[in-house]
Amino acid sequence: MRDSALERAFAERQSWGYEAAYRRFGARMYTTALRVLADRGAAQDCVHEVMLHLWKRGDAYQPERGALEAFLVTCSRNRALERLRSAGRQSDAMRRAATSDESEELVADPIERERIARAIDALPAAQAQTIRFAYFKGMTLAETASALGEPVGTIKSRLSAALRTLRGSLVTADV
Amino acid sequence: MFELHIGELAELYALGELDPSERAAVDAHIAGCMQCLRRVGEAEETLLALERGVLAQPTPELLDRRMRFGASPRRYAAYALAAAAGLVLGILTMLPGYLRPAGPPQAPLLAMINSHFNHAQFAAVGSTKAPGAKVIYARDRSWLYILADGSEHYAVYAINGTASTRLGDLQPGGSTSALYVARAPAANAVELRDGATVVERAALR
Repeated sequence: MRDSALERAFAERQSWGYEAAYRRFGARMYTTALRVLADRGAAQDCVHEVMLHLWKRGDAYQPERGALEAFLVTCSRNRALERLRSAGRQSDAMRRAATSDESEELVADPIERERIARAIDALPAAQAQTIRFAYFKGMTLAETASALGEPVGTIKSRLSAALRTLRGSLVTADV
Repeated sequence: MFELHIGELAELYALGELDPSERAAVDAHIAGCMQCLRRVGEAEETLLALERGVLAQPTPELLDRRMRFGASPRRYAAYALAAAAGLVLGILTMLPGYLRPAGPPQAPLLAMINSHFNHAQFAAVGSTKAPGAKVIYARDRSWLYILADGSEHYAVYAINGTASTRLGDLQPGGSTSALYVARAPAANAVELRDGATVVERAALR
């Protein structure tokens, strides 16, 4: 359920909104970064870098954009990917994360996992394969294109289409 | 850059797959286009739904245990820093009285917000049992902020080659201790010392 007062306060850079957002969504931001980086310390650094960056920027979020949690988690994931890629590391970190002891404690609700698996299976096969590579394995567009033997432009279009289709099956109105 | 709307770049933006120039162009566009802003937000909400299916959010108890007693307990200081970042905002924008903490003082947090800064973890020296600790510092070295887990009054020294300068002592506040140095001397490392014993050291880039 979205909290419109919190989202407005965050957008208006009110301190309580920022603090409440950190307390409410920080754990999800952390696990998202951890999945990418497979390093607890780096994931924690990632979260605080995101929060400080957003505060300094000040205008990155508006409630009209969508759910604040989604915005913050996406920021955390993308910052983690930047860290991973700037360090010259590839998607192996995400594969290692999937088998780490941490993941055993953070494993998702099997029902939720199954729901997502079904939604992905329902995509056209090429889109499903693309999102598995580019999202779940954290491969870059170029890596995904190479692995699937397709032009990068095709991969971009498939990813975009896949996300729009998945929204219809996974996202409820109140997020 | 865009004739009308950003199209599929919305999803690629959310996925973090745009180069910096494309990303900046999308940022500029969505600042004035509600339709594209919403499309970006929808993509972010879809990614959140996917993320929920990959890893569950840890319970607060598990997260706290991870931060304090996990395989990398020293990282607790990093978490404390993130919490401090939240407190920064309260101080800067007239945090309501009930939230005003006896935490980090205003000066270092103002310095953090208003300057470019780096951060570095302390590493234990020898076999000494050292607390998790971190130093945040201005890239121009105009200030240093040292934050450590626990309430020990360690002395803080700036190290420049073979020279060392005592900067002060960590000041306990709640579950952490901190020291802010407004005009730090030139240094390539910072040490925490217990008497004459070097407890831990952080290298400054």
